Amino acid sequence: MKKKQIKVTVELFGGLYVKLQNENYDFETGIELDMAEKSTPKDILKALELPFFKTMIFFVNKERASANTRLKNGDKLICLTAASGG
Amino acid sequence: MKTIKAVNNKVVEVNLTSGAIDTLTVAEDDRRNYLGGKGLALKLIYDRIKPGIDPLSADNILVLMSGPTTGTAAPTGGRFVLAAKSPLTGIFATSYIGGHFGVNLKRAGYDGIIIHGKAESPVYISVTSEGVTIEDASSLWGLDTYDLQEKEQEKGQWAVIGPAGENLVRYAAVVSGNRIAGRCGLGAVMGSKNLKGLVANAKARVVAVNTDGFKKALKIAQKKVKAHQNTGVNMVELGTAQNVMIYGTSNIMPVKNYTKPYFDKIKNISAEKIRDEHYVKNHGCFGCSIKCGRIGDFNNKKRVSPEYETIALMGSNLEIDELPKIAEWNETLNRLGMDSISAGNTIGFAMELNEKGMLKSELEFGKTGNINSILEDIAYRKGLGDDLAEGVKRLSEKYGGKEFAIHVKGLELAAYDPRGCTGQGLGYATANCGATHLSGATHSVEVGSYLQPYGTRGKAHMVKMMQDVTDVANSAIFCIQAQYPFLEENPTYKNTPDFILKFVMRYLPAVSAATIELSDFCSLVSGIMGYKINHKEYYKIGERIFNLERYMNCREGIDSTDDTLPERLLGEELIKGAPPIELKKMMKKYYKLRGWDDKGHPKPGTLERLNIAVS
Ligand code: SF4
Repeated sequence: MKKKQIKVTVELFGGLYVKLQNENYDFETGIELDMAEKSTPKDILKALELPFFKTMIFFVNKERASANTRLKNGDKLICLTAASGG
Repeated sequence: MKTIKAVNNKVVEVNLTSGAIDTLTVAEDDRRNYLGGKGLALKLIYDRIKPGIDPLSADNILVLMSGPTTGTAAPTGGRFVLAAKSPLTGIFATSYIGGHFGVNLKRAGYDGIIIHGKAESPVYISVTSEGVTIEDASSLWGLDTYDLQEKEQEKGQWAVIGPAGENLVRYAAVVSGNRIAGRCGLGAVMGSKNLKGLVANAKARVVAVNTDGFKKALKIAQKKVKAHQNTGVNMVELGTAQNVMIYGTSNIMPVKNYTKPYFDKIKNISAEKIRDEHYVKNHGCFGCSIKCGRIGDFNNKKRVSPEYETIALMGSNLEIDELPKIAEWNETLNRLGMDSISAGNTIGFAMELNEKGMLKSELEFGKTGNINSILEDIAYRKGLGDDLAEGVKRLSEKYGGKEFAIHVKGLELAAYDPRGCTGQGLGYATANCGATHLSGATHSVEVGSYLQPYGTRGKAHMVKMMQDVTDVANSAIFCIQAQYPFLEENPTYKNTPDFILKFVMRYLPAVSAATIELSDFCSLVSGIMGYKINHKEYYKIGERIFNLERYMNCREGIDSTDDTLPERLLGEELIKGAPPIELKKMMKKYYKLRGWDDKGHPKPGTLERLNIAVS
């Protein structure tokens, strides 16, 4: 049986934004993706052909999440890369 | 061309009152124990200064010092440090800068300059390989930092003050090229000495003593800088402003004088916005391959693009989302020679005073209004600007609002609200110069979740370790950005599963601190200096420097009552239900680890173990 689909809005910042070589991506609005139910931030990165590395930070609907958090229909995912001093 | 092997071991000592200029040789013990940069600068001050002197008097001693890396090919090895007693905090301060002055100073044959006294009229100090002279600067007094350097560029590479330093603004900066030593008001120390600037002009090659060892270490280090996500991609592509989205989303970037967790218009002031709409080119410190700074086009004007701290303090902290305005203020601050962190905090505090009717002014959150002219008024100490030139602490003493005056030991907070990274709170409370983010910066590990953002677990160990590691790096001198690839780009860190790393950092912090990866720092410095410095020795140098500065501050009256945070950050909830900062609990553990007594004084045994001679 085909898995149920969910819609997730994904916003990418920092190194991920740089790495996503997609001219149509607008960082102010993000991108809406159709994903299989229970997809995780890791799955989303894979779908966008982006790398995953240790120091990434994820937020789902403004709450801190992990790379393995299961996403629900209508969720807004924010993906950020390593922080530094400035 | 002359070749300098690692360091000159010569420091010039200038007395601006008498005009005497002497050269001294750095004692071998001091070199080994304090390395250079911050450590050596503080040691030279410690040997000379009397406790209790007024920072704006002729008795203050200002030191400019290079490090072993300065002028070599070591990553980020183009920086130098300024050190003196701060007029903002009344305790010792160091500030780092990457302009070309430091490299030229070293090329001229001097590792540093010690400046005493006060000139009768404006002067500048000129350094070439022929020697050091004191020159008349009457015609330069009053010039802004950019105009002076442009007008006098044929003389060499400058480190100068602007009108803010001349008018003794307590957070006046020193500028070299378009790099800034902003923190703690060392520009005012120069102004108080009638010293408009220093210029160095020399050609020489700075090479490592152990060339083969250095080359080998350099190859590995450069590879790591390139491979690391932060220094290889983020900093190069987005600069320090990348932190806007990271810390803004994590509720750490200050908003409305630290009253709100999130700035709704954050994307308008992000690095991504700068990259898409304003980017012209990268720029940075001498010889750095990362070049984290950038030049931008803002309303058809080419300006240095503001860095994270400036965007946060002059942007979200004032609820302002207009990048071109922030870039304009950034240039005004640089030209006048003022620290954007202290200025942004002070203006934010004045906005809240106005909102509460405690000091009426035109300053309002969210309004760009007359901020540019306020900055001018601060630099020239006109009207309200004269009060604002004193900084947040003194402003609160005069007009009230102590509970929302955001500073530690008189130094305004850098752009990381510790209510979302409590270890950073301990770092601010114990950093020797006050609330700097450049000593014991734990915010990134806390935001990255290796240490949980809240709570106390593992924090005291992490803060102490980061403070010591940063102090020795600041003496070598490496930029803080080099720490990320050197600490993280290694097989142990990369191949250890996340849950183990988190477990060790949180539950076995002593193991985590003892096994921190310092091999790149050690091999680079060993190669440059030509003698082996191992992990233990390298770490101990940092610990020694941290304790020397603490001891110097204790002689000025600092004790445990000063190791605290602003009332707002300890008492006001930022996010509903988030646990408060348990500062006392962390502090107890921290003092124990440091070997300090309950009053926060290093115990005699601690000083003895670190070979710090008590005076
Ligand atoms: S990373 Fe940036 S601040 Fe550090 S040395 Fe390079 S250009 Fe300077």
